[in-house]
Amino acid sequence: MLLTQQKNIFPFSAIVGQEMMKEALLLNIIDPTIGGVLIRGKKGSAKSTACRALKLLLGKDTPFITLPLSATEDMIVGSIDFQEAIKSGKKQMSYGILHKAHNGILYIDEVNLLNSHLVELLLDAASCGINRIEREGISFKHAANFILIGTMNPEEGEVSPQFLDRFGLSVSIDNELNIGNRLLILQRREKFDKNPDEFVFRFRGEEERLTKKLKESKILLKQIIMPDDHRKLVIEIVLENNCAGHRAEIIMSKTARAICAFENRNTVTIEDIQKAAAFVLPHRTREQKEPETNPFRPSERKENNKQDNKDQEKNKDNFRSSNNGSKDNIKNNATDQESNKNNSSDLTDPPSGTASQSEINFETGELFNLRKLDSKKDRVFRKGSGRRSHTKTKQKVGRYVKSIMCRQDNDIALDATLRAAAPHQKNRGRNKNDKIIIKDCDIRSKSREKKTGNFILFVVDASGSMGAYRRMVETKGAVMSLLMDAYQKRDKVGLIAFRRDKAECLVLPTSSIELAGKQLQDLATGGKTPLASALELTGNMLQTAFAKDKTVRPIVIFISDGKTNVFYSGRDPLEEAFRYAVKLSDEFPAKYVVIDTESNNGIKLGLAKKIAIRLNAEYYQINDLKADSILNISREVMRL
Amino acid sequence: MKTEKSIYPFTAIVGQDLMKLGLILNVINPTLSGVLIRGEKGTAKSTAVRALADILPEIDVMKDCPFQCDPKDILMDCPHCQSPRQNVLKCKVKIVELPVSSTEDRVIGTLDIEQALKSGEKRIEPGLLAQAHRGILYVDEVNLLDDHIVDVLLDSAAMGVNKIEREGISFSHPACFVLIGTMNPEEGELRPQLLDRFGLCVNIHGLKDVNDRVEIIKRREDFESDPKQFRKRWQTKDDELSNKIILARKFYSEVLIHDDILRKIVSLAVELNIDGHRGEIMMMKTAKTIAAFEQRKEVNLENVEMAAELCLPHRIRRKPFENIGLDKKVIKNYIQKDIAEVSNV
Repeated sequence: MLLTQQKNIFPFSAIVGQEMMKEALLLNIIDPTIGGVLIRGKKGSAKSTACRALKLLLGKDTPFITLPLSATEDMIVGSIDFQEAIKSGKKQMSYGILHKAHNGILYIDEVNLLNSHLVELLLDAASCGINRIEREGISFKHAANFILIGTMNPEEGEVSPQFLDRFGLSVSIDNELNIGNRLLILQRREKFDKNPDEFVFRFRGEEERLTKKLKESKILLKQIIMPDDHRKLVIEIVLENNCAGHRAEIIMSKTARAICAFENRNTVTIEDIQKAAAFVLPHRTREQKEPETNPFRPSERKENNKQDNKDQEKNKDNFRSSNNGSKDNIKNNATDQESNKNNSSDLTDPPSGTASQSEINFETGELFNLRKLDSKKDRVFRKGSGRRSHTKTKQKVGRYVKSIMCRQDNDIALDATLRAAAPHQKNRGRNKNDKIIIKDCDIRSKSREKKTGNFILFVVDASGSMGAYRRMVETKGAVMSLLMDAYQKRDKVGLIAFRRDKAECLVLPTSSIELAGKQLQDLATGGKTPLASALELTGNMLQTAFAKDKTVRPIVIFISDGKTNVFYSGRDPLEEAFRYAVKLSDEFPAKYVVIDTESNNGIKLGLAKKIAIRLNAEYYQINDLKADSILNISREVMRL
Repeated sequence: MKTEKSIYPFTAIVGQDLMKLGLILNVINPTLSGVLIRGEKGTAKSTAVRALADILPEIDVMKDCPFQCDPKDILMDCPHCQSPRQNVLKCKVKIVELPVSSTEDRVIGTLDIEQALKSGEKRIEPGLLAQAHRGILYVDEVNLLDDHIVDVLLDSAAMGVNKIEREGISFSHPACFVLIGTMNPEEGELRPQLLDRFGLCVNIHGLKDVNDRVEIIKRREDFESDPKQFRKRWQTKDDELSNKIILARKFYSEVLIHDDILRKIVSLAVELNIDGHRGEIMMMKTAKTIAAFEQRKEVNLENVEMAAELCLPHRIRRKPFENIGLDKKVIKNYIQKDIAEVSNV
């Protein structure tokens, strides 16, 4: 039931550059058993344009089905056709998206935003090639072989490893850097907007040529020879890259064959295999490095900027010398570089002025810590993602994910209720123009899911003792990484820092992660450790959080050595802190985590541990205080 | 009709020229894909969007069609327009408001409950996206919108199609709308992906000039004491603008853009380190639309400068935790430097 006119689709052959992406898509047409492609790239890099254009290159017998993010479960797997059931009393299937996509392409835009519960359905069907339906009194199964094509912007979060593995190939794309090409993009876009019909017509020849070439390649594919040595090479490459399972080598040889066929040759060459490896391995290699830069990762970004700037300078030079031949070039470049230098030093230099003599503002330890993080990222991060922020909700808000039998809160799932009631209409004596007869046993409720942006409260010790051994640097790095993670999960964050005489709230619960990041960067270290005050303030903030939303699940992360030494209300500081800790854990059902920053050198007091016991908190030692381990801790905790 | 009377006239808004321009450009050329207005509270953001209603042009639609079908281009499967001899209606482009608390089924559409219960028929009840087709979708406090709604919005804004696969309904209809969002950045930023979907972005601040501020209060007072009279007084100005917009809409297809100007746009985007290609494409379209608004057949560098100011602030690759914004001087210098160069040659 697609109503849109196909003439307005930007032709595939008119897409400038992005050769890897285009090739990956075409290879899947040549050999559908390659199993699809995941296109990772920043916004505005023609990802979706290419996928939609692909549709026109497909033969008529290959369906191209789009799965919208808002799809409900019954529409994906299929369900009883209630209209038919009511009218005729017959139980008849109404097929879902999986059936439509059989032997075709299932396209998901922004695939990383797809609800995890729908992802499971897809995985299930994809892994056995069969879609089994056992619901609403129907038992049915049909073959469901489909190619998954997905696009995603990694800035918005990752895809689970199992799902990732379902995509045969993956490509990461970036902006086109060549000015000439960028100009061409703009010119073509202009022409397309002005007169789409004419534009499409202009590229018709090329589209036809491409379709023909694909057809020929398909035929040629059956005759491709793969020398035995090359088979071994494939396996060696896969082993070297430490990929799980055998899928990698199977897909890699298929891809190499398809490349070979597309280039109209008979025998697979080493180059074909190398090319195939670039498509097959990136998302399967463990201990991989993420190709993308992260929006909040200054260290990497700095390098990129430099790189880009260099390219730009070059481009600019070309442009200038070819066009105007201006003599100001050298001068301009020099000033540009100078301003670049200024910019980059802004990134790392701690803002001055906030630090008094006793207070030192430590830099944020991103560089070291986050580099470390990279390598661990694959294993840890993806496992936890997607689940952390989901929760069932009983309120009538949130996303309707599926229907359930039990009745609750009058939140009736009408579609499911109708489907349940439909087959019984005849037996219940409904006449033609009557209303539908619904009995209690038909009623289905909506099971809703809401992303409960977790509230993460960081309580950071900024006393003088934290300045030693780069502790503050690493702490900042860790918190910063957590903030980035929180951005992707759309958590709320708060920040309490304690030093000198009292604790202060630097960031009220906010979803503006940027604000929290700024405050953290400016956080200076120095003075005493007013722990009791910090605990009390934490209590106050939790109280407000709970008052606003009873379902909130706060996570409180204390980062301190526990060496409290500020008399808060005239009593022994430690006793005072213990008392507040017990009170805090009694009153507020939050998840508490204590990270002990006490050094192993010299006498150990173990105060933070004692506080952790009283808080009923999970306790971790300073030895774990590497950015990645703190991150893992909070991810473990948040997976609940 | 009562509500219409109380709308503050668009032309009576003091200052905030960039915001007004951004809105007008989108009315002239809906493919500019919307404008995001960022500013503190009380800076006439919502007033301006609501006031747009007065200056919107008229379009032809099929009468009572839930998808606002264009009589020249009726959707194949439109359940309404298939029956022969439907009337054609001239009506103003609609502004559809999407409340922050909207549920997913209201936004994308769902099963028509009444029909289903009464007769057991599967029929679609169109949602806000259907209503907004060929019109304007306005989201106040867009940064507070629920995440899954944002995803849905992104999906259809990108594709120009709303695909419904839920609750027994499988249906898709075009949803081409101008997305207008307002937000107060103090309450959290927008996700980059959504940010990029807005063609234009303006940062607005309260006016600093005392005289301007006095003028604002005065006009507001006048308006509140007698809205009818006030609107009457501004009617001619609103009409003038309205006519100018209609002219510009016709003129747009004739506007030419020289390759040198395109090259300028590309190099500016490269210079400023803009993510993706949408920035350049938007700059080109915006510059053309500005030229059309000024009734000129060719885009000049001033148009590009203005377009850059509107299209780039939210697309510049930012340092972490840096504010969204753009140094006007950088663009100005860059463009003028070249004007000088060109004239030297």
